[in-house]
Amino acid sequence: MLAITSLQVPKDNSANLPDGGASNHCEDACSPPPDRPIRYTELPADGIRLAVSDGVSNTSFSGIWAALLVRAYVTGGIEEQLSTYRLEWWDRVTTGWPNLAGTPLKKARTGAAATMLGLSLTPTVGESLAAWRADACGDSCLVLVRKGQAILKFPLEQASQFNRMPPSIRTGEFKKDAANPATENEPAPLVGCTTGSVEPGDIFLLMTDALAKWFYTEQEEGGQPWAELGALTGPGEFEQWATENRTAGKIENDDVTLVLAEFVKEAPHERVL
Amino acid sequence: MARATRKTPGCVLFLLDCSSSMYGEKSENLAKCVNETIQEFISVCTNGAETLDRFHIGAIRYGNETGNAIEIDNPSDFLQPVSALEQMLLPEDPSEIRQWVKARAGGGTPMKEAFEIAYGILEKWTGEHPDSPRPTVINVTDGQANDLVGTQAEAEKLRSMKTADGEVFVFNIHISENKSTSVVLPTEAAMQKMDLGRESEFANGLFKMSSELTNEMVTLAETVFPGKDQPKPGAKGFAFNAQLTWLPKLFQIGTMAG
Repeated sequence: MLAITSLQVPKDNSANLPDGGASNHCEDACSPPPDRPIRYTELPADGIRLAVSDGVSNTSFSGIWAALLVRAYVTGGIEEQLSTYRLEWWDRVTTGWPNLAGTPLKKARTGAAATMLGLSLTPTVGESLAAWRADACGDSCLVLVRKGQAILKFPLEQASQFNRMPPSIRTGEFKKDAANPATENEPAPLVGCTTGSVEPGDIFLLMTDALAKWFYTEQEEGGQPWAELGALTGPGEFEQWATENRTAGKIENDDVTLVLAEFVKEAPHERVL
Repeated sequence: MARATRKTPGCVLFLLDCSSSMYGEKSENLAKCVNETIQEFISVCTNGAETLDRFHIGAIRYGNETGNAIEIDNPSDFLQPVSALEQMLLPEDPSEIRQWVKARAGGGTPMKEAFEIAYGILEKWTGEHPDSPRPTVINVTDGQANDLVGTQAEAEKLRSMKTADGEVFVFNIHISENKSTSVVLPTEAAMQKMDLGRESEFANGLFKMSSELTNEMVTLAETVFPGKDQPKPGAKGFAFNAQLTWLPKLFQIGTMAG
Protein backbone atom coordinates (compact mmCIF):
# COMPACT_ATOMS: atom_id res chain seq x y z
CA MET A 1 0.00 0.00 0.00
CA LEU A 2 1.11 3.54 -0.68
CA ALA A 3 -0.25 6.07 1.83
CA ILE A 4 0.19 9.72 0.90
CA THR A 5 -0.51 12.50 3.36
CA SER A 6 0.03 16.24 2.90
CA LEU A 7 0.26 18.57 5.89
CA GLN A 8 0.66 22.33 5.82
CA VAL A 9 0.88 25.15 8.35
CA PRO A 10 1.13 28.78 7.17
CA LYS A 11 3.64 31.04 8.82
CA ASP A 12 2.47 32.88 11.91
CA ASN A 13 1.71 36.37 10.62
CA SER A 14 0.33 37.71 13.89
CA ALA A 15 3.41 39.93 14.42
CA ASN A 16 2.73 41.49 11.05
CA LEU A 17 -0.80 42.52 11.83
CA PRO A 18 -1.28 45.67 13.91
CA ASP A 19 -4.19 44.12 15.77
CA GLY A 20 -2.22 40.95 16.52
CA GLY A 21 -4.74 38.78 14.68
CA ALA A 22 -3.90 35.70 12.67
CA SER A 23 -3.63 35.36 8.92
CA ASN A 24 -3.64 32.15 6.93
CA HIS A 25 -1.89 33.58 3.91
CA CYS A 26 0.35 30.77 2.63
CA GLU A 27 2.89 30.89 -0.19
CA ASP A 28 3.59 27.15 -0.19
CA ALA A 29 1.75 24.73 -2.44
CA CYS A 30 1.68 20.95 -2.66
CA SER A 31 0.14 18.03 -4.47
CA PRO A 32 -1.86 16.26 -3.24
CA PRO A 33 -3.38 19.22 -1.42
CA PRO A 34 -3.46 19.09 2.39
CA ASP A 35 -7.09 18.03 2.66
CA ARG A 36 -6.90 15.06 0.32
CA PRO A 37 -5.09 12.00 1.71
CA ILE A 38 -4.56 9.26 -0.86
CA ARG A 39 -4.26 5.50 -0.38
CA TYR A 40 -3.22 3.21 -3.23
CA THR A 41 -3.20 -0.55 -2.93
CA GLU A 42 -1.24 -0.50 -6.18
CA LEU A 43 0.41 2.28 -8.07
CA PRO A 44 -1.64 3.41 -11.10
CA ALA A 45 -0.20 2.12 -14.38
CA ASP A 46 0.90 5.60 -15.44
CA GLY A 47 2.42 6.33 -12.03
CA ILE A 48 1.85 9.28 -9.76
CA ARG A 49 3.54 12.61 -9.22
CA LEU A 50 3.88 14.48 -5.97
CA ALA A 51 5.26 17.99 -5.51
CA VAL A 52 5.92 20.78 -3.05
CA SER A 53 6.71 24.37 -3.98
CA ASP A 54 7.60 27.41 -1.90
CA GLY A 55 6.85 30.89 -3.23
CA VAL A 56 9.80 33.23 -2.63
CA SER A 57 8.37 35.75 -0.20
CA ASN A 58 10.22 38.83 -1.45
CA THR A 59 8.45 38.44 -4.79
CA SER A 60 4.76 39.27 -5.19
CA PHE A 61 1.96 36.79 -5.77
CA SER A 62 4.46 33.96 -5.34
CA GLY A 63 1.85 31.65 -3.78
CA ILE A 64 -0.04 31.66 -7.09
CA TRP A 65 3.18 30.81 -8.92
CA ALA A 66 3.96 27.99 -6.46
CA ALA A 67 0.51 26.49 -7.03
CA LEU A 68 0.96 26.71 -10.82
CA LEU A 69 4.39 25.05 -10.64
CA VAL A 70 2.97 22.18 -8.63
CA ARG A 71 0.21 21.75 -11.19
CA ALA A 72 2.73 21.99 -14.04
CA TYR A 73 4.86 19.24 -12.48
CA VAL A 74 2.08 16.79 -11.63
CA THR A 75 0.53 17.14 -15.09
CA GLY A 76 3.91 16.61 -16.74
CA GLY A 77 4.24 20.06 -18.30
CA ILE A 78 6.89 21.81 -16.29
CA GLU A 79 9.59 21.71 -18.95
CA GLU A 80 7.54 21.98 -22.14
CA GLN A 81 4.69 24.24 -21.11
CA LEU A 82 6.32 26.56 -18.62
CA SER A 83 5.71 29.57 -20.87
CA THR A 84 1.98 28.83 -20.76
CA TYR A 85 2.04 28.72 -16.98
CA ARG A 86 4.01 31.98 -16.89
CA LEU A 87 1.28 33.68 -18.89
CA GLU A 88 -1.38 32.09 -16.71
CA TRP A 89 0.32 33.56 -13.62
CA TRP A 90 0.21 37.08 -15.09
CA ASP A 91 -3.37 36.56 -16.24
CA ARG A 92 -4.41 35.50 -12.74
CA VAL A 93 -2.69 38.50 -11.18
CA THR A 94 -4.18 41.05 -13.56
CA THR A 95 -7.62 39.43 -13.50
CA GLY A 96 -7.65 39.00 -9.73
CA TRP A 97 -6.30 42.50 -9.03
CA PRO A 98 -7.46 44.67 -11.98
CA ASN A 99 -6.74 47.93 -10.12
CA LEU A 100 -3.14 47.16 -9.32
CA ALA A 101 -1.10 50.40 -9.57
CA GLY A 102 2.04 52.06 -8.24
CA THR A 103 4.57 49.88 -6.44
CA PRO A 104 2.34 46.75 -6.26
CA LEU A 105 2.07 46.87 -10.07
CA LYS A 106 5.76 47.66 -10.50
CA LYS A 107 6.73 44.77 -8.25
CA ALA A 108 4.26 42.37 -9.86
CA ARG A 109 5.78 43.19 -13.26
CA THR A 110 9.16 42.00 -12.01
CA GLY A 111 7.57 38.55 -11.65
CA ALA A 112 7.33 35.86 -9.01
CA ALA A 113 9.70 33.07 -8.01
CA ALA A 114 9.34 29.74 -6.25
CA THR A 115 11.44 26.73 -5.36
CA MET A 116 10.12 23.31 -6.31
CA LEU A 117 10.61 19.64 -5.64
CA GLY A 118 8.80 16.94 -7.57
CA LEU A 119 8.74 13.18 -7.04
CA SER A 120 7.57 10.82 -9.75
CA LEU A 121 6.70 7.19 -8.86
CA THR A 122 6.16 4.70 -11.66
CA PRO A 123 5.38 0.98 -11.47
CA THR A 124 8.08 -1.44 -12.59
CA VAL A 125 8.15 -5.06 -13.62
CA GLY A 126 10.46 -7.15 -11.45
CA GLU A 127 11.74 -7.08 -7.90
CA SER A 128 11.37 -3.44 -6.97
CA LEU A 129 7.99 -1.99 -6.09
CA ALA A 130 8.44 1.03 -8.30
CA ALA A 131 10.95 3.42 -9.78
CA TRP A 132 11.27 6.95 -8.48
CA ARG A 133 12.67 10.11 -9.94
CA ALA A 134 13.05 13.44 -8.17
CA ASP A 135 13.51 16.84 -9.82
CA ALA A 136 14.34 19.97 -7.90
CA CYS A 137 15.13 23.64 -8.03
CA GLY A 138 16.09 25.37 -4.80
CA ASP A 139 15.79 24.29 -1.19
CA SER A 140 12.55 22.33 -1.13
CA CYS A 141 13.93 18.90 -0.26
CA LEU A 142 13.32 15.19 -0.53
CA VAL A 143 14.41 12.65 2.08
CA LEU A 144 14.17 8.90 1.53
CA VAL A 145 14.04 6.86 4.73
CA ARG A 146 14.78 3.14 4.41
CA LYS A 147 15.10 0.69 7.29
CA GLY A 148 15.37 3.43 9.86
CA GLN A 149 18.04 5.40 7.99
CA ALA A 150 17.78 8.56 5.91
CA ILE A 151 19.58 7.12 2.90
CA LEU A 152 19.04 10.05 0.55
CA LYS A 153 18.71 13.81 0.96
CA PHE A 154 18.13 15.83 -2.19
CA PRO A 155 18.97 18.37 -3.56
CA LEU A 156 20.54 19.76 -0.36
CA GLU A 157 22.44 17.34 1.84
CA GLN A 158 23.27 19.36 4.96
CA ALA A 159 21.55 21.92 7.17
CA SER A 160 24.42 24.36 6.54
CA GLN A 161 23.50 24.51 2.84
CA PHE A 162 20.24 26.38 3.46
CA ASN A 163 20.56 30.09 2.81
CA ARG A 164 18.42 33.12 2.00
CA MET A 165 19.05 33.00 -1.74
CA PRO A 166 18.16 29.53 -3.05
CA PRO A 167 17.83 28.98 -6.80
CA SER A 168 14.24 29.39 -7.89
CA ILE A 169 11.99 29.08 -10.91
CA ARG A 170 10.88 32.51 -12.05
CA THR A 171 7.97 33.77 -14.10
CA GLY A 172 10.21 36.29 -15.83
CA GLU A 173 9.50 40.01 -16.08
CA PHE A 174 6.26 41.32 -17.52
CA LYS A 175 7.22 44.55 -19.20
CA LYS A 176 4.58 47.07 -20.14
CA ASP A 177 2.84 46.22 -23.43
CA ALA A 178 4.97 43.08 -23.96
CA ALA A 179 2.98 40.04 -25.04
CA ASN A 180 5.25 37.58 -23.25
CA PRO A 181 7.40 37.68 -20.13
CA ALA A 182 11.08 38.45 -20.59
CA THR A 183 12.69 35.13 -19.73
CA GLU A 184 15.89 35.19 -21.80
CA ASN A 185 18.06 35.27 -18.69
CA GLU A 186 16.06 32.71 -16.76
CA PRO A 187 17.82 29.39 -16.13
CA ALA A 188 16.30 26.00 -16.94
CA PRO A 189 13.50 25.39 -14.47
CA LEU A 190 14.70 22.18 -12.87
CA VAL A 191 18.38 22.11 -12.06
CA GLY A 192 18.76 18.75 -10.33
CA CYS A 193 17.51 15.24 -10.88
CA THR A 194 18.09 11.91 -9.15
CA THR A 195 16.52 8.46 -9.52
CA GLY A 196 16.22 5.12 -7.74
CA SER A 197 14.10 2.07 -6.93
CA VAL A 198 11.44 1.77 -4.28
CA GLU A 199 11.65 -0.99 -1.67
CA PRO A 200 8.96 -2.11 0.78
CA GLY A 201 8.84 0.14 3.83
CA ASP A 202 10.36 3.13 2.04
CA ILE A 203 9.19 6.53 3.26
CA PHE A 204 9.55 9.63 1.07
CA LEU A 205 9.30 13.04 2.70
CA LEU A 206 8.89 16.12 0.51
CA MET A 207 9.43 19.27 2.53
CA THR A 208 9.65 23.02 2.00
CA ASP A 209 12.75 24.72 3.38
CA ALA A 210 11.89 25.57 6.99
CA LEU A 211 10.81 22.00 7.72
CA ALA A 212 13.67 20.48 5.71
CA LYS A 213 16.23 22.58 7.60
CA TRP A 214 14.77 21.46 10.92
CA PHE A 215 14.81 17.84 9.69
CA TYR A 216 18.46 18.00 8.56
CA THR A 217 19.55 19.68 11.81
CA GLU A 218 17.78 17.10 13.98
CA GLN A 219 19.26 14.24 12.00
CA GLU A 220 22.77 15.71 12.09
CA GLU A 221 22.42 15.86 15.87
CA GLY A 222 21.62 12.14 15.99
CA GLY A 223 17.82 12.34 16.04
CA GLN A 224 15.25 10.47 13.97
CA PRO A 225 13.07 13.35 12.78
CA TRP A 226 11.10 11.11 10.40
CA ALA A 227 9.79 9.19 13.42
CA GLU A 228 8.68 12.46 15.05
CA LEU A 229 6.88 13.58 11.89
CA GLY A 230 5.43 10.13 11.23
CA ALA A 231 3.87 10.04 14.70
CA LEU A 232 1.77 13.13 14.03
CA THR A 233 -1.77 11.99 13.39
CA GLY A 234 -3.27 14.91 11.50
CA PRO A 235 -3.33 18.62 10.71
CA GLY A 236 -4.23 19.63 14.26
CA GLU A 237 -1.22 17.83 15.74
CA PHE A 238 1.01 19.05 12.93
CA GLU A 239 -0.01 22.66 13.56
CA GLN A 240 0.58 22.27 17.30
CA TRP A 241 3.95 20.64 16.62
CA ALA A 242 4.97 23.50 14.26
CA THR A 243 3.86 26.17 16.75
CA GLU A 244 5.79 24.55 19.61
CA ASN A 245 8.94 24.22 17.53
CA ARG A 246 8.68 27.81 16.30
CA THR A 247 8.31 29.02 19.87
CA ALA A 248 11.32 26.93 20.89
CA GLY A 249 13.31 28.49 18.04
CA LYS A 250 13.88 25.11 16.40
CA ILE A 251 11.98 25.89 13.24
CA GLU A 252 11.83 29.22 11.42
CA ASN A 253 8.57 31.13 11.24
CA ASP A 254 7.82 30.28 7.63
CA ASP A 255 5.17 28.33 5.77
CA VAL A 256 5.70 24.64 6.48
CA THR A 257 4.66 21.89 4.07
CA LEU A 258 5.16 18.13 4.24
CA VAL A 259 4.11 15.48 1.75
CA LEU A 260 4.67 12.05 3.23
CA ALA A 261 4.57 8.99 0.93
CA GLU A 262 4.85 5.67 2.79
CA PHE A 263 5.15 2.26 1.12
CA VAL A 264 3.71 0.09 3.88
CA LYS A 265 1.76 -3.12 4.26
CA GLU A 266 -0.98 -1.17 5.97
CA ALA A 267 -1.39 2.50 6.77
CA PRO A 268 0.56 2.99 10.03
CA HIS A 269 -2.35 4.76 11.63
CA GLU A 270 -5.40 6.47 10.36
CA ARG A 271 -4.65 10.16 10.10
CA VAL A 272 -7.63 12.31 10.88
CA LEU A 273 -7.79 14.63 7.90
CA MET B 1 18.40 42.59 16.10
CA ALA B 2 14.64 43.14 16.30
CA ARG B 3 12.64 42.53 13.15
CA ALA B 4 10.60 45.27 11.51
CA THR B 5 6.96 44.18 11.40
CA ARG B 6 3.66 46.03 11.26
CA LYS B 7 3.41 45.66 15.03
CA THR B 8 7.00 46.74 15.60
CA PRO B 9 7.85 48.94 12.58
CA GLY B 10 11.31 50.15 11.76
CA CYS B 11 12.11 53.85 11.41
CA VAL B 12 14.47 55.70 9.08
CA LEU B 13 14.91 59.47 9.33
CA PHE B 14 17.06 61.39 6.87
CA LEU B 15 18.64 64.74 7.76
CA LEU B 16 19.49 66.51 4.52
CA ASP B 17 21.83 69.45 4.18
CA CYS B 18 20.14 71.91 1.81
CA SER B 19 22.58 74.78 2.32
CA SER B 20 23.74 76.89 -0.61
CA SER B 21 26.92 74.83 -1.11
CA MET B 22 24.73 71.85 -2.01
CA TYR B 23 23.51 73.63 -5.15
CA GLY B 24 23.57 71.58 -8.35
CA GLU B 25 24.74 68.02 -8.70
CA LYS B 26 25.06 67.38 -4.96
CA SER B 27 21.50 68.30 -4.01
CA GLU B 28 20.11 66.61 -7.11
CA ASN B 29 21.99 63.38 -6.43
CA LEU B 30 21.08 63.44 -2.77
CA ALA B 31 17.36 63.87 -3.51
CA LYS B 32 17.56 61.10 -6.13
CA CYS B 33 19.23 58.66 -3.71
CA VAL B 34 16.76 59.41 -0.92
CA ASN B 35 13.82 58.95 -3.30
CA GLU B 36 15.24 55.68 -4.61
CA THR B 37 15.75 54.48 -1.05
CA ILE B 38 12.15 55.35 -0.14
CA GLN B 39 10.98 53.49 -3.26
CA GLU B 40 13.07 50.47 -2.29
CA PHE B 41 11.56 50.42 1.21
CA ILE B 42 8.06 50.56 -0.26
CA SER B 43 8.92 47.76 -2.67
CA VAL B 44 10.39 45.55 0.06
CA CYS B 45 7.25 46.11 2.16
CA THR B 46 4.94 45.32 -0.75
CA ASN B 47 3.53 41.84 -0.97
CA GLY B 48 0.94 41.28 -3.67
CA ALA B 49 -1.51 44.19 -3.74
CA GLU B 50 -0.64 45.41 -0.25
CA THR B 51 2.10 47.67 1.09
CA LEU B 52 2.64 46.62 4.69
CA ASP B 53 3.61 49.34 7.16
CA ARG B 54 6.81 47.70 8.36
CA PHE B 55 8.68 51.01 8.17
CA HIS B 56 8.07 54.66 8.94
CA ILE B 57 10.26 57.05 6.95
CA GLY B 58 10.89 60.77 7.21
CA ALA B 59 13.26 63.45 5.97
CA ILE B 60 14.26 66.78 7.52
CA ARG B 61 15.96 69.38 5.39
CA TYR B 62 18.21 72.04 6.84
CA GLY B 63 19.29 75.24 5.11
CA ASN B 64 17.43 78.52 4.67
CA GLU B 65 14.21 76.59 5.25
CA THR B 66 14.58 73.95 7.94
CA GLY B 67 11.71 71.49 8.26
CA ASN B 68 9.96 68.59 6.60
CA ALA B 69 11.63 67.69 3.28
CA ILE B 70 8.55 65.74 2.24
CA GLU B 71 5.72 67.99 1.13
CA ILE B 72 2.59 66.84 2.91
CA ASP B 73 -0.58 68.53 4.16
CA ASN B 74 0.59 68.52 7.75
CA PRO B 75 4.34 69.32 7.76
CA SER B 76 4.64 68.36 11.42
CA ASP B 77 3.93 64.73 10.47
CA PHE B 78 7.56 63.92 9.80
CA LEU B 79 7.42 60.14 9.88
CA GLN B 80 5.18 58.53 7.31
CA PRO B 81 4.27 54.84 7.14
CA VAL B 82 5.39 53.36 3.81
CA SER B 83 1.78 52.81 2.70
CA ALA B 84 1.15 56.57 3.02
CA LEU B 85 4.29 57.33 1.00
CA GLU B 86 3.07 54.83 -1.59
CA GLN B 87 -0.19 56.75 -1.94
CA MET B 88 1.61 60.06 -2.56
CA LEU B 89 2.42 61.35 -6.05
CA LEU B 90 1.24 58.11 -7.69
CA PRO B 91 2.71 58.12 -11.19
CA GLU B 92 0.92 56.77 -14.24
CA ASP B 93 4.02 54.78 -15.11
CA PRO B 94 4.93 52.74 -12.01
CA SER B 95 8.58 52.49 -13.10
CA GLU B 96 8.98 56.25 -12.59
CA ILE B 97 10.76 57.24 -9.36
CA ARG B 98 8.64 59.73 -7.45
CA GLN B 99 10.08 62.93 -6.00
CA TRP B 100 9.00 62.73 -2.40
CA VAL B 101 12.10 64.82 -1.67
CA LYS B 102 13.09 67.59 -4.07
CA ALA B 103 16.57 69.01 -4.62
CA ARG B 104 16.98 72.26 -2.70
CA ALA B 105 19.91 74.50 -1.83
CA GLY B 106 20.15 77.83 -0.04
CA GLY B 107 21.34 79.41 3.19
CA GLY B 108 23.67 78.16 5.90
CA THR B 109 24.07 74.77 7.57
CA PRO B 110 21.84 74.68 10.68
CA MET B 111 22.61 71.02 11.38
CA LYS B 112 22.03 71.46 15.11
CA GLU B 113 18.41 72.49 14.48
CA ALA B 114 17.88 69.40 12.33
CA PHE B 115 19.15 67.15 15.15
CA GLU B 116 16.90 69.00 17.60
CA ILE B 117 13.87 68.35 15.41
CA ALA B 118 14.96 64.71 15.00
CA TYR B 119 15.14 64.36 18.79
CA GLY B 120 11.58 65.62 19.20
CA ILE B 121 10.30 63.27 16.50
CA LEU B 122 12.08 60.20 17.83
CA GLU B 123 11.29 60.92 21.47
CA LYS B 124 7.62 60.60 20.54
CA TRP B 125 8.17 57.69 18.15
CA THR B 126 10.24 55.54 20.52
CA GLY B 127 7.64 56.15 23.22
CA GLU B 128 4.97 54.83 20.88
CA HIS B 129 7.09 51.95 19.56
CA PRO B 130 9.17 50.69 22.51
CA ASP B 131 9.62 47.19 21.02
CA SER B 132 10.59 48.33 17.52
CA PRO B 133 14.04 47.95 15.98
CA ARG B 134 16.37 50.82 16.87
CA PRO B 135 15.56 53.86 14.70
CA THR B 136 18.10 54.99 12.13
CA VAL B 137 19.10 58.60 11.46
CA ILE B 138 21.14 59.29 8.33
CA ASN B 139 22.62 62.76 8.14
CA VAL B 140 24.08 63.89 4.81
CA THR B 141 26.05 67.11 4.57
CA ASP B 142 28.75 68.70 2.45
CA GLY B 143 30.12 71.24 4.84
CA GLN B 144 30.70 72.73 8.23
CA ALA B 145 27.78 72.86 10.64
CA ASN B 146 27.02 76.38 11.82
CA ASP B 147 27.48 75.20 15.41
CA LEU B 148 29.53 72.01 15.60
CA VAL B 149 29.70 71.82 19.40
CA GLY B 150 25.95 72.38 19.71
CA THR B 151 25.30 69.80 16.97
CA GLN B 152 27.46 67.24 18.77
CA ALA B 153 25.50 67.75 21.98
CA GLU B 154 22.18 67.30 20.12
CA ALA B 155 23.48 64.18 18.36
CA GLU B 156 24.60 62.77 21.71
CA LYS B 157 21.10 63.33 23.11
CA LEU B 158 19.60 61.65 20.06
CA ARG B 159 21.86 58.63 20.38
CA SER B 160 20.94 58.17 24.02
CA MET B 161 17.32 57.43 23.09
CA LYS B 162 16.48 53.79 22.69
CA THR B 163 13.96 51.08 21.99
CA ALA B 164 14.21 47.60 23.49
CA ASP B 165 16.45 46.79 20.50
CA GLY B 166 19.06 49.44 21.26
CA GLU B 167 20.09 53.06 20.92
CA VAL B 168 19.21 55.26 17.95
CA PHE B 169 21.68 54.57 15.17
CA VAL B 170 23.28 57.75 13.78
CA PHE B 171 25.06 57.62 10.44
CA ASN B 172 26.89 60.75 9.23
CA ILE B 173 27.85 61.08 5.59
CA HIS B 174 29.92 64.00 4.40
CA ILE B 175 29.90 64.28 0.62
CA SER B 176 32.32 66.04 -1.68
CA GLU B 177 32.69 66.55 -5.42
CA ASN B 178 36.46 66.87 -5.04
CA LYS B 179 38.77 63.91 -5.18
CA SER B 180 40.02 64.75 -1.70
CA THR B 181 41.24 62.13 0.75
CA SER B 182 38.16 60.16 1.70
CA VAL B 183 37.36 58.12 4.79
CA VAL B 184 34.67 55.45 4.65
CA LEU B 185 33.37 53.60 7.71
CA PRO B 186 36.56 54.01 9.75
CA THR B 187 37.45 52.64 13.17
CA GLU B 188 38.76 54.95 15.89
CA ALA B 189 42.32 53.81 15.09
CA ALA B 190 41.90 54.44 11.36
CA MET B 191 40.46 57.87 12.05
CA GLN B 192 43.45 58.84 14.19
CA LYS B 193 45.82 58.02 11.33
CA MET B 194 43.97 60.22 8.84
CA ASP B 195 45.31 63.64 8.00
CA LEU B 196 42.39 65.74 6.82
CA GLY B 197 44.20 69.05 7.29
CA ARG B 198 41.98 71.98 8.17
CA GLU B 199 38.87 69.77 7.91
CA SER B 200 40.10 67.52 10.75
CA GLU B 201 38.10 69.19 13.51
CA PHE B 202 34.81 68.96 11.63
CA ALA B 203 35.54 65.40 10.46
CA ASN B 204 36.38 64.25 13.99
CA GLY B 205 33.28 65.98 15.30
CA LEU B 206 31.05 64.10 12.86
CA PHE B 207 32.91 60.87 13.60
CA LYS B 208 32.21 61.20 17.34
CA MET B 209 28.53 61.80 16.57
CA SER B 210 28.30 58.50 14.67
CA SER B 211 27.25 55.06 15.93
CA GLU B 212 29.26 51.87 15.69
CA LEU B 213 28.27 49.51 12.88
CA THR B 214 26.74 46.15 13.76
CA ASN B 215 28.50 42.96 12.63
CA GLU B 216 25.88 42.51 9.90
CA MET B 217 26.58 46.02 8.60
CA VAL B 218 30.34 45.39 8.58
CA THR B 219 29.76 42.18 6.61
CA LEU B 220 27.61 44.02 4.06
CA ALA B 221 30.11 46.88 3.92
CA GLU B 222 32.89 44.41 3.11
CA THR B 223 30.86 43.29 0.09
CA VAL B 224 29.88 46.72 -1.22
CA PHE B 225 33.27 48.32 -0.57
CA PRO B 226 35.72 45.60 -1.58
CA GLY B 227 39.44 46.32 -1.44
CA LYS B 228 42.22 46.88 1.02
CA ASP B 229 40.41 49.62 2.98
CA GLN B 230 37.51 47.38 3.86
CA PRO B 231 35.55 48.29 6.97
CA LYS B 232 36.61 46.38 10.07
CA PRO B 233 34.82 45.44 13.29
CA GLY B 234 34.54 48.57 15.40
CA ALA B 235 33.93 50.73 12.31
CA LYS B 236 31.50 53.62 12.69
CA GLY B 237 28.65 54.80 10.47
CA PHE B 238 30.65 57.70 9.12
CA ALA B 239 32.07 58.80 5.79
CA PHE B 240 34.05 61.92 4.94
CA ASN B 241 34.62 63.33 1.47
CA ALA B 242 32.45 60.49 0.16
CA GLN B 243 31.84 60.54 -3.57
CA LEU B 244 28.25 61.04 -4.68
CA THR B 245 28.27 57.65 -6.38
CA TRP B 246 28.82 56.00 -2.99
CA LEU B 247 25.58 57.33 -1.53
CA PRO B 248 23.36 54.38 -2.53
CA LYS B 249 25.87 51.92 -0.99
CA LEU B 250 26.15 53.97 2.19
CA PHE B 251 22.35 54.24 2.46
CA GLN B 252 22.11 50.48 1.97
CA ILE B 253 24.47 49.90 4.88
CA GLY B 254 22.95 52.62 7.07
CA THR B 255 19.39 51.41 6.70
CA MET B 256 20.35 47.90 7.84
CA ALA B 257 20.38 48.97 11.50
CA GLY B 258 16.61 48.64 11.75
